[in-house]
Amino acid sequence: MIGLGTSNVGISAATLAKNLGAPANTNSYSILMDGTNDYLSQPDGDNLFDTLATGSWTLSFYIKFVTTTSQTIFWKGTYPSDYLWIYCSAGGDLAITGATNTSTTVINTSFNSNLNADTWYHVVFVSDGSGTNRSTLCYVNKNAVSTNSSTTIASSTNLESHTGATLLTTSNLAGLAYYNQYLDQIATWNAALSAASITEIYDNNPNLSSNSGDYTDSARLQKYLKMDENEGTSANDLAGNGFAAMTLVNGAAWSTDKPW
Amino acid sequence: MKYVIIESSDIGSVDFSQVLETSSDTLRYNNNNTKTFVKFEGDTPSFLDGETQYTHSEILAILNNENGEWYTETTI
Repeated sequence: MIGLGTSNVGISAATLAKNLGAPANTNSYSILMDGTNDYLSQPDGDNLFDTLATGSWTLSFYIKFVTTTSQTIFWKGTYPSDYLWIYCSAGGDLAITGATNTSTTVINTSFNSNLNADTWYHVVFVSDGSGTNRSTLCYVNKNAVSTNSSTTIASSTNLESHTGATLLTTSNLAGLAYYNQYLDQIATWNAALSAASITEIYDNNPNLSSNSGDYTDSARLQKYLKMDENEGTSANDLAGNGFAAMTLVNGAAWSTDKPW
Repeated sequence: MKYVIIESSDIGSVDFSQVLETSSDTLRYNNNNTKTFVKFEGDTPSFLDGETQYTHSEILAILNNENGEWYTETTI
């Protein structure tokens, strides 16, 4: 018989599992882009946005902007006719926008996130495509963020018909632009995660490949880049779905500055 | 980290094993494509001897000068 002990009363299942000897998740490094010319890249067909095309999906990552929040986070395609773009405005508002097929907008939602520079944030976009129209939510540090503006789109619309690599921390609006930021722990699911699941991830940092506490979505995990390699120029995808690694280009660097 | 601006015509002399840029295909150029830059840590690669070296803050000031030859609109 195993006694739980008074120190384990009232804590989450994930923390209890850790205390009872389950393998603890670790996070030792993030990736820093210096804002001069470096970025991250994944090849077409294997990239992050390929899992955000149709149906319901969730995108989770940690980010820390250096100096200013006015930065691209993820980019793919050719502006303005055919692209998908996740960015933060100078005022700290996160947004996801995109167009395809001769500039037809397929998604355009902005959130009142009010982020600041020099602070780590856990950001989660949840897009529910189960109804007639797509509903996209944003969570920052487990809290749902209100919407500034949103375009109604049918759930059947393919958000990701673009060709080319997904680029992180660079964009191509009018020539390539580069940004100074840290990224860490990027993951996608082909499901709309619940608020409880997102809270579990933020509070207890479980290994996303296994269910833990209120996090019950490991079977829907599509991509999982822990960014903990600390060597070489590849951030490997640990989700086990055979997708290619993300490449660190032009000196994007492993950093000990990390969210947890 | 140190940064050195070079003429595009000198790219052939760059030893990419001694700088942090991935390859000639991923270099960033100025707006008329006549210049690029490379960055390195530690000892100065011999092919960059005698060239002006910039710190991170100095190169960012050059690249982000709205009236300069490197500027790309980044404000969102």
